[in-house]
Amino acid sequence: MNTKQNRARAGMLAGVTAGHAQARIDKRLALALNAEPAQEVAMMPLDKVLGRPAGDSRALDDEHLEALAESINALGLIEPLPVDRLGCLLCGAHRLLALRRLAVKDPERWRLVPVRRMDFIAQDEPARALAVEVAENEKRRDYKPAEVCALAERLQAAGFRATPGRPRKGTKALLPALGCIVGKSKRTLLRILNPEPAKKKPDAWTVALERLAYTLDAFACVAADTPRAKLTPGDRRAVNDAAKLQAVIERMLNHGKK
Amino acid sequence: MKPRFIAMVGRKGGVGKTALTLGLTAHYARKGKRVLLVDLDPQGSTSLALGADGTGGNLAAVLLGDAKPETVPCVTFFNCPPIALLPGGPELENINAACPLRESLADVPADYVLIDCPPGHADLDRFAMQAADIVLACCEPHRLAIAGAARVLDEARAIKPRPRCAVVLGRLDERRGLDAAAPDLLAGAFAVPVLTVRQDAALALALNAGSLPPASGRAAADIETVCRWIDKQTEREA
Repeated sequence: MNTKQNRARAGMLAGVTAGHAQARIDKRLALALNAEPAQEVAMMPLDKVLGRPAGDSRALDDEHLEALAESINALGLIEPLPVDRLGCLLCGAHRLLALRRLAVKDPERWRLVPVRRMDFIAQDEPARALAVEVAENEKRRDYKPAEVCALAERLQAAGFRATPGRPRKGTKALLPALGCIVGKSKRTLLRILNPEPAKKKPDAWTVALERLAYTLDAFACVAADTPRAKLTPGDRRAVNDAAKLQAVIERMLNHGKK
Repeated sequence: MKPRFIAMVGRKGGVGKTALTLGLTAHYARKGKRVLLVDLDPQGSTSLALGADGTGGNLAAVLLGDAKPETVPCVTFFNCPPIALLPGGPELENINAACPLRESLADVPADYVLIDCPPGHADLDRFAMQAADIVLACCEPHRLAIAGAARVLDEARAIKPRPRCAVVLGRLDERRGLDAAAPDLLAGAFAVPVLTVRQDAALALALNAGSLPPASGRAAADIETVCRWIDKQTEREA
């Protein structure tokens, strides 16, 4: 047997290995897809919520933490923290740290926090813990515009202001605080909070006329670029008729606009 | 008798899933068995191959509970009982919740429910394998296709602890050294039976003509072997 044959056979077997490796990722994705059903929300002492045994999967962002603490201070914790049977955090390290910072200032108010307890132990089932984390982060709740507006009102009542540039002393910036609750960009938030008046949809007749005008215009452009000598008498008649029709349609469209 | 659910899965495209599905259909239909073809492919491959239009959302409607499986159109061919087809089509892309394939089709009057899976669609593959009594991982003697089959078999094992599955190596040309060596090589690597379907021009001609695969020839003989293997598995179960 020659070397090429041998290499090809080895290659086929390498295909098997590659398939197994991809299947492992498939499995992980499927786990995340079939995420845990919603668990009951309970109150739990903040000092009993433990950090993740494996540490945090990404570095914590101090600026985000500050905005988050401000919004939690104003609104309370909206999304309960998912924890395992022992109270180990499954995801939401920023929220936990923000709560701990708030608790330093006002321990009594932040003694109990809402948690969603899941019935397994993260240390024993790290794959499941990862699946929960992935699912939680991917399936972040999508807040509807009305909910965003309601949250914005509550924040404004608590002294948050949406002002261009740095907020004045004594007021806090609305958009960053709102953004870290609902996970939307500043632009999206502005669009939700200051909706543009809805444009009137043109009716089917006007749309058809506009399309026709566009087509005739394109035709006229081509006709203008073609040397007259090249056109047959029939072509010339068509160009003239199209020009007349174009004028009629322009008139109709202008009339409609008035 | 309750219908047997058989899934043709490959993950990679062009490895003979649809050809095998139609080959099995032809074999069983010619024996007078009632076959329901489930085209789980957003490309509608089985539907197109049989001359149906491949845009029908019938299967999607059944899976979403909007239609009853009784409403399936039948394809009739000369000299065999009508074959029921649940046509696939682009609407299958919308199926993303766990879809109760088996439950939806539990009461259909069929001896065999053959599920033709799409290429490159992990979710739909998973639904098919959850429903299936038997999983046939289709591939060709080719590294990329083999990777797809390995992936499918792993998935099948994740769904059921001991799935009844086999690899079907299609379009095999035994004159080529690599093709001839592939069945033994893969039987060792996969630890499941490796069945083969040899290259056959008659099969290719029939599939392009929109007719049922031929009753005789190399491929037909090989497909008969596959059917015997399937029937042995289901007998053992019963």
